[in-house]
Amino acid sequence: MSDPVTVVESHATPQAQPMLEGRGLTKTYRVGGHDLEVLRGVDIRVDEGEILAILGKSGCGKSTLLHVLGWLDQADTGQILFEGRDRSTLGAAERAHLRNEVMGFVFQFYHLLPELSALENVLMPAMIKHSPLAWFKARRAERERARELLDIVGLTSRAGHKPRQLSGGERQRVAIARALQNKPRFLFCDEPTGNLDGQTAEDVRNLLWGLNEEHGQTMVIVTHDAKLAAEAHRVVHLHEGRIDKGHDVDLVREVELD
Amino acid sequence: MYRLFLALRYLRSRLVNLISIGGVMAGVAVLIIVVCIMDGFQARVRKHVRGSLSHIILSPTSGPDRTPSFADLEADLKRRDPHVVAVAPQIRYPVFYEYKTQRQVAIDSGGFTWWQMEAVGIDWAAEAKVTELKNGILACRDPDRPFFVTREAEARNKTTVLVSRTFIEKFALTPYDAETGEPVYMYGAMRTQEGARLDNDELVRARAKTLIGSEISLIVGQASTDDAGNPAFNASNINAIISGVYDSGDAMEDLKTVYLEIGRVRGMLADRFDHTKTPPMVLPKHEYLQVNVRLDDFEHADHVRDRLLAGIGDTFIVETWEDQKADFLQAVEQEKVMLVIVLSFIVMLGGFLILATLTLTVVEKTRDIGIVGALGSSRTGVLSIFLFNGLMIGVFGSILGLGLGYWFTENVDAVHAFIKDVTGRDVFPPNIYHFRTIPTVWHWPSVFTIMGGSVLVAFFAGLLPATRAARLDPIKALRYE
Repeated sequence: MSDPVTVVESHATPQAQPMLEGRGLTKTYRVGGHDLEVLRGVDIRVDEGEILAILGKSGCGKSTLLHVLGWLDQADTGQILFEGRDRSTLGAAERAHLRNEVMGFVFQFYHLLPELSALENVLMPAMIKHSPLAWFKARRAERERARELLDIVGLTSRAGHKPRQLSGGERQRVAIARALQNKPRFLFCDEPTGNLDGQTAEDVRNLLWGLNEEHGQTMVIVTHDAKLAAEAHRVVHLHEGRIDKGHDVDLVREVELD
Repeated sequence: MYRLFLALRYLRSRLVNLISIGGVMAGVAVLIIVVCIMDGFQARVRKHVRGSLSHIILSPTSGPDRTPSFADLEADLKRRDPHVVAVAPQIRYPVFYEYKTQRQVAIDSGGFTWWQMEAVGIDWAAEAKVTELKNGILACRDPDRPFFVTREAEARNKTTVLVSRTFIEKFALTPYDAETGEPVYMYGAMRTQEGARLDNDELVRARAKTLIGSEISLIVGQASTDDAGNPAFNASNINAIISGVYDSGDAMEDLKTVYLEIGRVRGMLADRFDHTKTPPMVLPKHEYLQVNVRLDDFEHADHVRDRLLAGIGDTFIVETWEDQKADFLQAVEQEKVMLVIVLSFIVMLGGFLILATLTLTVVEKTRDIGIVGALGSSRTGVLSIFLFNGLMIGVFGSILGLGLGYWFTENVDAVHAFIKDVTGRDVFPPNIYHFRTIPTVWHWPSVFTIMGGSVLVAFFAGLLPATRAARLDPIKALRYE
């Protein structure tokens, strides 16, 4: 942060260097013979400790943007910088490594491994992180952390259950616990409440916001729910593959603070 | 860690993997069983094929005048190579066993049938040190002098012979008939008085004992020419007394061999015929026609043979017993190799099963592959999950196959009896193989090779689906619903 050179370079953000920055991101899919431009030059930044909501209609490219930001997917053009490091300069193994340790994902469809219990699902990122030998040393601590996380999301009693024995809300909470297991710098949430009913959605929202308040967890949340987005620190509107300047930045927050 | 963990989970959660494990198990078990039985078969066949052969066999290449005396040769051999521990002379001459077939007895034709054999003259004291014949004696009066029958026969200088077990079985020899004073000739399977086959060692031994002292008729002949120069055959009849019964293990060879004291066979070569009327014998009067050599250990045989060949190769043909039976031994080895090759296809089949089930697993687990990728697993990580899955099928299958194979070879005779009971067919008939039990040899290196080979097959079978899984783009795999 104190490095003056980096500050100069990241002129787009006057207050501080963004942790994650996307510049001129484009992405085109080929669907049924013609090209579908999903992202058409998106500039976006994520600052430490903030909750950034990406708001947009279904099919506007929100999920793709999230996947690109989370290094799951590759943009056709543009740059993704994590603390100044360019995604394209890193090898596949290094990217996998960063994805494992720095980024946590919560998917709309939970994406739990069906053969594994809730606890084992939560442990999976830790198992990927450690080499077999290191795992034997670390597993006690990791298991403890997984249990703690399950406790935080209120699923202590469901630790041994398989995903199919859990309700939608429970699955989503397991997925959140899993995303947090390796203490990621970023939490990427793709429609975290999209498939949940009112009360459950509210529980999940409280859980996420609580994480931010207590631990300063940085979060990027993709949603089409304006109400949820309104509670974020910052909202960007994604419209037809571009950030809608009309709604930019801290407006919503300011409105809310008033 | 997650790789093994997930591989195990996938293995456990999918029943179809059990089929693959079963396939590998079957292949491994069958290969182990076949190799064990073939090794046992080979070991026993070697013993049988070797029969009464010594480690190294020398045959003179030239006439008696240019062949050293036995005493000189023995000293020479022992001097040439320290591995030579004992030497015995041998001399061979063709004879016929004269008998009546059942039919000839029945119609009282008065005729006889001749069975061609070889009279092998041995010096017992020396022979006992050189070949396994001593251990093959089933019955005799005096183990130190198996050619001894009675004092009376000795006093009358009667010819005594050792006949083989297969010989008395083939010709169904029965004891000398005391009432008529005639030998009883029978041809066919040897039976007890109750009519049961004599296929039990005890019974054969007992029968052999009763035969000692009985006489058999041997014909010794020699080709010559008559006064007009036409071929002629001089034959004379020896009534030889059976002094003992032996079993060298080589059934076919035994059937054509009777042992006599070496002096008697020398006599056949030398003194039997009246040469005044016919031209002199062309047969050379060798002191010995074959020399049997025993080494301290057969493993030196090839080395000693080469050394002797270099030294006395002009006067003697030098061979190991394996050289003499090379074709047969190779045939057995070849048979084993063929069987192993053919049966390896079962393991291949196991490999294809793994390929099929893993391909299925990869398709079914596409979303999981995406999830694991999103959580930070590298491509090699995904590759390993499915490689481990295949390997585990191979390892578990091999271990189960080892167990099954071990159980089978341990209980092979019981299984054999069971198959015989169920199918009504004897798959290992003793009259063909001359084995009462199925021989097996448990050879760990072969077993490990089979198991290792199967695991390797499993590895390669897993390679293709695993690479396919690793090539999946996590994000595309995630969208796969």
